[in-house]
Amino acid sequence: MLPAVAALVVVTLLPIAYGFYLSLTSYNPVERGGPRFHGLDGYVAVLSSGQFWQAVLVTIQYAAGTLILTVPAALGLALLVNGRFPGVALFRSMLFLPRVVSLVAVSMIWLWLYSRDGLFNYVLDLVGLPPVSFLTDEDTALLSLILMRAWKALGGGMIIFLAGLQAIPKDLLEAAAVDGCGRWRQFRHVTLPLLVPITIYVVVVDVIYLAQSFSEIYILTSGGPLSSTTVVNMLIYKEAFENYRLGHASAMAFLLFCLIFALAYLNIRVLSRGGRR
Amino acid sequence: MRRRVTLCVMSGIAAATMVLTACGSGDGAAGGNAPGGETLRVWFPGNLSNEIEWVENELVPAFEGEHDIDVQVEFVDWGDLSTRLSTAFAGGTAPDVFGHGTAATAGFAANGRVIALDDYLADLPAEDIADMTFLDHGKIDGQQFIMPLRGFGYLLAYRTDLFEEAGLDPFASPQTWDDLRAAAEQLTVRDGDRIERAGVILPADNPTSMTQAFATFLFQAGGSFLDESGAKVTWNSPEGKEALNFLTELYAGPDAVADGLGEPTSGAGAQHPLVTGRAAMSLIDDATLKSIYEQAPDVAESIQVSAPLGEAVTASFGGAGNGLFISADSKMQDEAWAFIEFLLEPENAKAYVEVVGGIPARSSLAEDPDIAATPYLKPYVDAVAQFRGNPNVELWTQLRDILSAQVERALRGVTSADEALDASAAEATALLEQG
Repeated sequence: MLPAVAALVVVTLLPIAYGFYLSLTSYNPVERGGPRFHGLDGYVAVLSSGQFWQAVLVTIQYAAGTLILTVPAALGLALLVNGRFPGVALFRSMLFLPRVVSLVAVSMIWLWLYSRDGLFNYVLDLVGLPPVSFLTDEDTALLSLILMRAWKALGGGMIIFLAGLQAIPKDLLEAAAVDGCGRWRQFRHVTLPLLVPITIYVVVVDVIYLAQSFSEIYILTSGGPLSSTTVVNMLIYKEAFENYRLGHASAMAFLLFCLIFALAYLNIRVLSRGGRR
Repeated sequence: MRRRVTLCVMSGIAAATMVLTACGSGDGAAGGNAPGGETLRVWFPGNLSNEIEWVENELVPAFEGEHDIDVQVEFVDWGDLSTRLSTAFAGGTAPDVFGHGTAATAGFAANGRVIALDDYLADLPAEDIADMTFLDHGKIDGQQFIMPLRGFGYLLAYRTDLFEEAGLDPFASPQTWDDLRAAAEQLTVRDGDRIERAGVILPADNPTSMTQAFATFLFQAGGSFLDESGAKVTWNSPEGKEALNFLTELYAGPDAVADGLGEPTSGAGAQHPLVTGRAAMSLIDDATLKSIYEQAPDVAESIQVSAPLGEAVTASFGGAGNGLFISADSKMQDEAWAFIEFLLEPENAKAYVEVVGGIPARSSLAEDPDIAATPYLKPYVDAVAQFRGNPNVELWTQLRDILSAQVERALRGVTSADEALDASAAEATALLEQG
């Protein structure tokens, strides 16, 4: 018990406490003298910054956009591979593959796919369509990131939904069939309600994960063009390591924690209410 | 038993607190050297394989053989350099010697992170000091803080075959903005509203490079970023507005002759729009031109580079590129200077630019037959007197970011050039006033 508590304190609680202390300071690591206590000034400055709220909006759009694409698609794929047919294991593995590849490697591949001379523009050219500036146009950059991220998240969501589907007792579905329910009504009134806890899990975990996104955005757009893909984590990075304002960056990090907590809590409440209904 | 557990927990917390406090103080009391202090730690910025190979296999062994000093070199990607350095400063583990762009000089100097090199320079022969091309670019208030290893610059490069195809004389490069605009119009190929081949493109990978392109035209118009004191923003002067309006008009409306904002062109080699034929002219830096010569030598044969355009002033953005600092926390400062001095010896300074590209750190190398025969070095060496760089002020990188955000907005047509410059000047002035 003691080693576990000590590890928790040293590895988790103390860094968090130190991070919170930094958020109450003005701290430029290039300057000598260490952090200077400024109380809540950093929080006030961050909360009154348009740049921060713009990043919050982009973070919500990014997380929501990815979830809207991922959750139904993952459920659909799980239903598809829930049956027994030749090669189903291989099919499941292939669909899960993006999940196990590093996000950085995936981002590098998609950087080429989206580039002016990349695969997508090559295909567009083949069918006689003009090229698209996927990552360099402020109207398409965020959507392009969402598509990539949804593709990456699909396999993980599918596997969890598949586990949920396989845990549904067969006799419930058979009873529904005996009562005259077709496949759609079985899905709508038996499968879907029983998948609510799984859906809550998938959505909440994805919200927590997506709201902390950084590496794919750093590689694909660096937050541009015109800050259209600058999520809060990207802004934290820029504040900390480009502008050397670690106090502000730490305040943003704690505000991001509050945002993630609020989004996760909201999801749990909304989805639980939907499930009870 | 309970007391022992409590003691263990308390000592664990105390130890962790001490570790974290040490991480945070960043006073450098621990010094910046490896245990024993016998190994000179050097960080080079970048990840060019040629450079890594030359430094590790030739430069360092030669230095170690001559000076009996062990050198540990690490290459840090430019994108990670600020992150790595700031955490190293905070943790008291900064390397003895580190490379960076000259734009960071004033900030490091003001915070006492690097030492002034004047005492070391005083021991060099006068002719050696006179030979150092970019020495003045590394000075803050008359003190030398960085030793530039190479210079860089932006010049207009163009495809002679596309000039001929468009009915232009391939040996008569544009000399003024009007010439540039006229040539770009003639070279632009459109498919309806869409540009199939841009007449000209600017370095516009990201807002910072857009600002470097703006700087070229700002200097040509006779403007500057800041006044001579470095305390007043002047980029929104009439000259600045004239320059940014000229650039925005290249990208705007049905008569646009430029495109590709945000597309990576720096070091793009065979993927550069000049090579793929998606652009006929490009404002291009020496390293990118070198990458084209290395990756697409057949196309490179039809690329010509012209001298800087002359509007009010014949000038272009450029000057000292990356250089080396000595950490103020280093316990091996003499050894660190010996390493820098060794790297700047004529044969090493020459080898460095042959590997990395750019303008040699020594002006005497301009006459070197190998340098003069290298087509991607010669035009930049010839134009060295016309290159102008960033102001050496402490807040420059933050000021530049403010300007860059607005320059991008103007080039993308979100705001007018005049509004962009005035808005960024107001924000930058407030930052300068805050200090």
